[in-house]
Amino acid sequence: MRYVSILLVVLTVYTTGCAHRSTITPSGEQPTPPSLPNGATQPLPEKPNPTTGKNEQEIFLDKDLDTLYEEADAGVVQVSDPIAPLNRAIFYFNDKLYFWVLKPVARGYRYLIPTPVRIAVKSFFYNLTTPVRVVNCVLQGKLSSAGRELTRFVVNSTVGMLGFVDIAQNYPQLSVKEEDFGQTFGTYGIGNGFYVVWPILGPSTLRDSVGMIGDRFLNPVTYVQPIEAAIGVAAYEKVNDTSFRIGDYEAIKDASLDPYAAIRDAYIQHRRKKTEE
Amino acid sequence: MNRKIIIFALIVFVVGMTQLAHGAQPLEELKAPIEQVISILRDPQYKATSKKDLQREKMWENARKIFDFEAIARGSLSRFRWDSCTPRQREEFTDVFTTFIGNNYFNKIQGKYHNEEVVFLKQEMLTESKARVLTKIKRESLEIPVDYSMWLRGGNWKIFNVYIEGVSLLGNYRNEFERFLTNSSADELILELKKKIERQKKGEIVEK
Repeated sequence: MRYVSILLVVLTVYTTGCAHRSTITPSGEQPTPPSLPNGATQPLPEKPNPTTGKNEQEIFLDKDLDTLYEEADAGVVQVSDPIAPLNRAIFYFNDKLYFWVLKPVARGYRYLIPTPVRIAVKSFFYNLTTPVRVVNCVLQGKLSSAGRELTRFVVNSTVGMLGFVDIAQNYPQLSVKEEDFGQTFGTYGIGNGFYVVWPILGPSTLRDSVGMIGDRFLNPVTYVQPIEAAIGVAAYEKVNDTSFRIGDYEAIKDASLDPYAAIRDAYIQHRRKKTEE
Repeated sequence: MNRKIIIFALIVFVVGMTQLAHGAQPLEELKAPIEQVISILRDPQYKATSKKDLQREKMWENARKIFDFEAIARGSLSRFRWDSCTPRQREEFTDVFTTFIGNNYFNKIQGKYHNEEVVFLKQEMLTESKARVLTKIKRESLEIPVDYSMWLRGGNWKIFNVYIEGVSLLGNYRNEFERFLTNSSADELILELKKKIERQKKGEIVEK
């Protein structure tokens, strides 16, 4: 009787194992053993493969390796950085500016101002930059996107009370992608030029810097008088935006060996993706 | 007429078999552990500081189910660098790098979880054993696109690369390590990562 129950248990385990895992893949690979609960620092105890003496997971087929390296190579970026020493100095300045000024202010602001209000402010500023996106959609020949932007602007500016309420976000057909002059130049085949770090504004390239000037022209905030007020509004927008992103910069810094170079590479990749979209 | 039925039945059978042979679909395979991690993060039983280590261990369990850390470590070095490493270095690098990226990620989400929500958008099958799963993290009004490259290796769908806002994890570390290894040895890289892990531990869980 005991044997029967043991046999039953074995059978049950075996069949559940089958139900959850496909047996042998077309490539003839053996399935991996189920992973065991494990702590953060210990490697997985894996059974050595009897034929090769290697761990199951260590075996990479040639096609796997090709896929893997192809994927990694696609993320490799090359950007010229002739003014690296200056950029690094400005990077250092921005870093201190973030930790000493921007972050404490944004945290205080976040603590004081309820999330719905901060979201409303964000939507308001986003709505204001509609001209930048519409013009660049048109310049890139994305007419339907331009139309969506305009519809969105009309809806949000009226029903959405001057853009404070993002009504349009409830309609997936009105969803839009950010466009700017830097991306437009990119789609025209103009290269990055070289990497530039601006005080306060952060990472950019020669191309994107020229683009930024164009974007500024189409941003109503630029035309606020006097100039001090315009700077004040821009600073407020920056604080409001940062209040949603506290911790992100720190995470990138923690995750890299050379934060300056990691952020540079990430910026180039990020812009490349946006230009492709 | 009969032939039509037979052909139809055959098609159904074949389609069904391929589904079976491939096991679950990548998006589904991804969804379960990620939702598990979120429920661990929300679970009030881990609120106390003394429970944070246990919470992290639970999250590791889920991460190991779905991330192909061996592949991620290997792909973050170029073929040449990997081949120039000794087996001991390879193994050590894989362990250290896995801990490093895992801790980075968990520090971030464990320290300050703001009810972020993960939306699973869709899966794109690139080949029969390679797919891209598109997701986004919603945080207050912010939407952060996170795409996963997954492959079918050893019978399971596993993540071998992540794109956060279009930035490739493999690509970024490939750049970093290539720069580092131009002037330093693999052992120095391992040491550097270990130092970073130590520093992470000191700042752990504290909201930065």
